[in-house]
Amino acid sequence: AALPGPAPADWVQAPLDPAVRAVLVGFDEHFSYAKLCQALRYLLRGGPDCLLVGTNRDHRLPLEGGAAIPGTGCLVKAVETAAQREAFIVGKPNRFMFDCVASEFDVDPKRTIMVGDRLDTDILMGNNCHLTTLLTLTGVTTLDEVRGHQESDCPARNRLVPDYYVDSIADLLQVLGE
Amino acid sequence: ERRFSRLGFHGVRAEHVFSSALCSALFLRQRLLGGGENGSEAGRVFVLGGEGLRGEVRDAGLRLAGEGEPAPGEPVRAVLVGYDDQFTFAKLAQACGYLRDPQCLLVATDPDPWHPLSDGQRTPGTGSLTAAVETASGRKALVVGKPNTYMFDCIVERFGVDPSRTLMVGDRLETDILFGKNCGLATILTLTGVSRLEEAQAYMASDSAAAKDLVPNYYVDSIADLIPGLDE
Repeated sequence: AALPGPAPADWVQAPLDPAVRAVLVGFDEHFSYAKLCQALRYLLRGGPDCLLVGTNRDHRLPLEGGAAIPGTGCLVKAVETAAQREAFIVGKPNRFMFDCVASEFDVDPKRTIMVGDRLDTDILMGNNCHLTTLLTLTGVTTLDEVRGHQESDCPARNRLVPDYYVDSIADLLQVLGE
Repeated sequence: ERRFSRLGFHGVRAEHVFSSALCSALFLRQRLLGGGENGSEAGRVFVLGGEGLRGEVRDAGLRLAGEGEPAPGEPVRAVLVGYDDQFTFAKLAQACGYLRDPQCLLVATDPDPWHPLSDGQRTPGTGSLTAAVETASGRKALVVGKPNTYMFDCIVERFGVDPSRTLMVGDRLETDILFGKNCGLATILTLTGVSRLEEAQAYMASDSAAAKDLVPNYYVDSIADLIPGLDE
């Protein structure tokens, strides 16, 4: 809907949709202060009866050459900070996504391998769902980081350690072809 | 000056007013120009904020980065996050680009998560925008405003104020009252704004030492209650 004026004092006068019961934050390259303002209004109006959900907490999405664009996690943090409440994050490492896949396709965790390049999302979800986990080293994670978590006394860090690793997902394709 | 008169405070002049915007500009001037660099070596500042904040940065002798690519040879040496009701994803991405340089400062005017509006609604504050920039860049912002004592340092430098004879009046426990405590000032909470009396009482009842710093020495329903006392 069009903004009713140039400033937040005007925007907050616009009527709210009475049917809204959740604010869902995903990747939004058109994110703006006005949208943040609107999200805050719904969350304040609804209190605990209005859900605050985020698709994931990615900090950044890497581009070639080392640059990156901000990830959904930034937008989630902006809403959480303004509303002073925590979002429910559906994406990894939450097991919700695996449960969706498993129920749709009759997947057996014991015969499933989770492949990913991030420890705190991909590998953690795989371990939490009792899957076999495989780390690819083509992304953000280094072997030194893994060793650090493996040697740690902290159980939370140990859960970030994959069962296996490969340099690249291409290494798997040969095996899958057999 | 008129606004303060209307509230019952007479003789307040522009030079007596210190905002987080002004102090952020002074802070950046110190950090970017303080070593004697001339204007063109100081680099530019990318400001996420309105005309008021941008004006303060310019008045401090610094140059602003425009929207879009920087000119070659003129690096952006600081990203300043303030209250920006024109904040967009594109500006967030632009800020992150500059912050890839570890020499580029990340500074925020204040940590406020939201501000109250006259009808009881709330508008998001600088704190929420800073959280987005921090998450994307992996950096922690230097927050110039309360509860950081920098603003008090600015005031003392210009006016030689004695903390033991100074009263801090504010409506937000986590910034105003903590600021007063950090600067060694007596503090008064007004109940017309952000924080409620119950919140102050909860901090008072808490076992944590940090919570005690958020308890004001006094409270009043409204700043108007103080005026008669000031006239004496």
